[in-house]
Amino acid sequence: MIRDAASSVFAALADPTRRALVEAIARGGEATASQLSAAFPISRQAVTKHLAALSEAGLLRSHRVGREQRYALEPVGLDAATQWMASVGSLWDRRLATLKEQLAAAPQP
Amino acid sequence: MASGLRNCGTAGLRVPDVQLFGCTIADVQRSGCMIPSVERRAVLDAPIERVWEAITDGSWLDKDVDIDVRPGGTGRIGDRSVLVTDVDPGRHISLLWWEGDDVSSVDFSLTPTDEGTELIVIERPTFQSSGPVASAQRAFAYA
Repeated sequence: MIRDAASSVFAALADPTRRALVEAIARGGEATASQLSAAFPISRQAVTKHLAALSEAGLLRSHRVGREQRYALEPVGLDAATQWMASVGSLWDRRLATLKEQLAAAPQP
Repeated sequence: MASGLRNCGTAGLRVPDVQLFGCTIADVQRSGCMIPSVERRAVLDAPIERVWEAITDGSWLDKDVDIDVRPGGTGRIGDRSVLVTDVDPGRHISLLWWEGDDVSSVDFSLTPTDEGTELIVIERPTFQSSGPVASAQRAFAYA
């Protein structure tokens, strides 16, 4: 379901450290957990945990280079969230059209 | 008419490929505006009193609507349950509405204009299960 996928994206990005990690990866193209933990005031273990959460939400993809996992952005990870927003928006468009019709059908005496 | 994260500018496009509802990740990180919202504005050709009546009557939202319009008031809109969290009569009403674990807060604000009434609707998903509903219900139970 779209909402479930959107929900996990928003939940993953609700954490400021994770947003900062996503930004750093977006800027740098790709990064390893060691590089990120050198740039952030948190342990490599904590970085790895955040990267796992972001990967699980579909926001990052990774591949192994040598002994390390390299993380890059997965832009389609945002698609579900964007779709969810669009579907809620079109529901409101329909409701507002109904409200306008109602008000027009019963004009002020 | 807008949809997406509020108060997010488009300045500083340092991350061109990554856009979150029109905001760059950098904007999102800087402003911390991570609660997504869907916003709609409509100018209605009717005086504010009539629009308020229509809004709170709720028949534009579903055929089957029953809402107790006061803070802490409950009701339903179709299959959704409703809890009224805030009311400024004639001007503003905030609700939580939910169906199962699908919980949103919805705000309706009315402003009189030269042409009639401006209505702003903002829906914010909570992306949580019934936690927000339970805590709002507790708050009203002890009020």
